[in-house]
Amino acid sequence: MSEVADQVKQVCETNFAPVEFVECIDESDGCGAKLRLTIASDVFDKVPLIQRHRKVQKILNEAGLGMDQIHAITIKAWTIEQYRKKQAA
Amino acid sequence: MMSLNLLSRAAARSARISTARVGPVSFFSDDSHSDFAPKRKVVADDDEAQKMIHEHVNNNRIMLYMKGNPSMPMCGFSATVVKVLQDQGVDFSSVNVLDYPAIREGVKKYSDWPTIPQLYVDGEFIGGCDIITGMQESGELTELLQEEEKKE
Repeated sequence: MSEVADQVKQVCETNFAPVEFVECIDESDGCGAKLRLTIASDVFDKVPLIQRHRKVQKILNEAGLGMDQIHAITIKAWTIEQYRKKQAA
Repeated sequence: MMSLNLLSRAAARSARISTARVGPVSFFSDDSHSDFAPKRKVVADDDEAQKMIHEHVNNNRIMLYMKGNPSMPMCGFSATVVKVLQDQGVDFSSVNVLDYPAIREGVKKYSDWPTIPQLYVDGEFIGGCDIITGMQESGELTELLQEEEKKE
């Protein structure tokens, strides 16, 4: 796991609390340029998908982890219910 | 009025494709091919880029800004969106932002969204790869695109 991935994970844990699940995987051979982020939180409840993503982008930007730092990021932003359904599947 | 020579059209309706072909196909229609020959239009400045993008998204029902083009995407995320649109069987227009740096930066400003690909439907920014695949899974995308079809 890379430093950038850890930072992203921590920033999300703080800002989307209470978080059921959060994970940030570095898919870029450790250089932090390509990340896969998954967050399960009810902060996303009743929020349209695009607004969920804008919220994540905003929080990462404010933490200095915007797209000038991270080349590519895949974001899965689920409510707790959605996350549990996927686990059950 | 500036002409828009940037666009490539990719049509992937299975119904129109002969049974000899396997799977969804994108193609450039023959009679417009010369329009899309490498004729780089110079985009002078930011304002011009914003105007062009506004025209693109309002004159083309389904408009995709991507890296590469539908027959040869140059990025995994762009390739994924192309595939989703082809699976939906809808006509769409696209611009290869790798050929137009001013458009590449311009669309990010236009939609206030930091990445490529960017899909617009009926003039509205819908999202990038994650959102499009998410909407595909939930059925929202079919609903959105079919709604647009009915408006024709």
